[in-house]
Amino acid sequence: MTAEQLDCLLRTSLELWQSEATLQAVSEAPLQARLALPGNLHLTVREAGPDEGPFRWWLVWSASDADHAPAGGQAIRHKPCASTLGLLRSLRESLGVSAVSRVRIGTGAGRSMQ
Amino acid sequence: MSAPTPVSVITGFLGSGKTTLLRHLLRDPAMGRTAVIINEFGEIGIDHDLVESSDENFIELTTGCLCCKVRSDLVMTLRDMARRRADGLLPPFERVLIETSGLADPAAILQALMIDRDLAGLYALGEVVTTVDALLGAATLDRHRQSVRQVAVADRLLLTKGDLVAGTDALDARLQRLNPGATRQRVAHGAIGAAELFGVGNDRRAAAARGYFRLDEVRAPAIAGPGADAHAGLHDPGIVSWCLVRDRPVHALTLPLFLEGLMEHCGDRLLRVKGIVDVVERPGRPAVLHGVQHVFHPPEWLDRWPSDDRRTRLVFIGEALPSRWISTLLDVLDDDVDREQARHARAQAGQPAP
Repeated sequence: MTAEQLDCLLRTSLELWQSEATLQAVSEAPLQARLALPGNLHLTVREAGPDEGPFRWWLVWSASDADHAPAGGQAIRHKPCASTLGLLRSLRESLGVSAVSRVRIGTGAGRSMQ
Repeated sequence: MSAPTPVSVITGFLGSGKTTLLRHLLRDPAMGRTAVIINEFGEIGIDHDLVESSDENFIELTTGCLCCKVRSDLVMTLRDMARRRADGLLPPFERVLIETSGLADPAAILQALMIDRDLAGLYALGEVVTTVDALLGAATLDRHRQSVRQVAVADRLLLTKGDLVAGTDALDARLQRLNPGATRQRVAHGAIGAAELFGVGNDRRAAAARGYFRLDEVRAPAIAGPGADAHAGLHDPGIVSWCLVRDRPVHALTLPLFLEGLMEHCGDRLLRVKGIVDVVERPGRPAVLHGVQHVFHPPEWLDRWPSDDRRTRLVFIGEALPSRWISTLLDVLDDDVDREQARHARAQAGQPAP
């Protein structure tokens, strides 16, 4: 994934979710993005290295002071994601945005084209 | 087990010519074994009396708008019809035709046909035909959001009352923008044959190749530019169509991941997704995808490409679609699958990671 693609995915996702979080910066080598969250929190999305398998991404929360520490009581929290879809889902959930809908596959025999 | 009975849907706004079309169709001998369900909005049904029917395969639902009571009325009716057919209490109909009320949101009806467990195996969704008044269609699209949704889910758009209007270029172009994957045709007095409309009697796959997806006609730009969304339907605020065109084939595993991500993060914006996909693992046998809102049919695999254009083409119809996000999602997920498969292959071969 390129920095441009990551930028597009994250920036547009935040818009889709109507989140107050903002994308501040995206950089390469290592590929990562920094988001500003409400409450003086920051979140870094970092691509996992080749020796960090099976994980694909890491989410790293940080707060500028202890009063704004994220849930869990620690000033810094890490969360691994095994896929890009998992990254988006974890990010959305961490921002408190409820899911829209999950895909459903029809139970019938498929579409008739007779 | 016998093949599922195809269920075709005729929808369209009030006064757009649905009943006239149905009346004409039912005179066609090719529709002889068709059960018809008419839904009217109001306590007293009139359409039923306007349609001549020579047999008992006629069911009228007047309890309200079909899309609002689709679970109870339509599903129960279809299930009951199948049971009565099996018991010999109804003639052995081979097709069902539903005429929705003019105010119906057909997406709800299509979803019920696609996902209801009681109907699984008994019925399969057929052609969705939307009638559009050639004279008043543009004004209706301006004023009634439901009519835009009816156009958006159509496989086939019929411009009715074509004899009353000389030129429909503007309306035609607007319909093309709203639903570029649908075929469009002018009719007068509902005069169109069942074989032409529903492919009755035609070979199933030949019908697919012939006209199920008229994506060769789609000429919409793939991506408008960085940060730009699809605004093909500027005259219909909110509802837009956009076509994703991709030269590289897609891994089979990418497709469910892509649909999952698409539905999860912008499923509420999508009315319809349909298209044809070049799949890495099945060269020469494209997959046809078809979804209404967040419900998808299992992919239909064609024996061959319907035309010389062998690119993946997916048409999205919905509200404020994030086109660049959608195409990026497909790209990165496919790259991820590619990368994971390469990693797996290296591990199998005992090779170290690069």
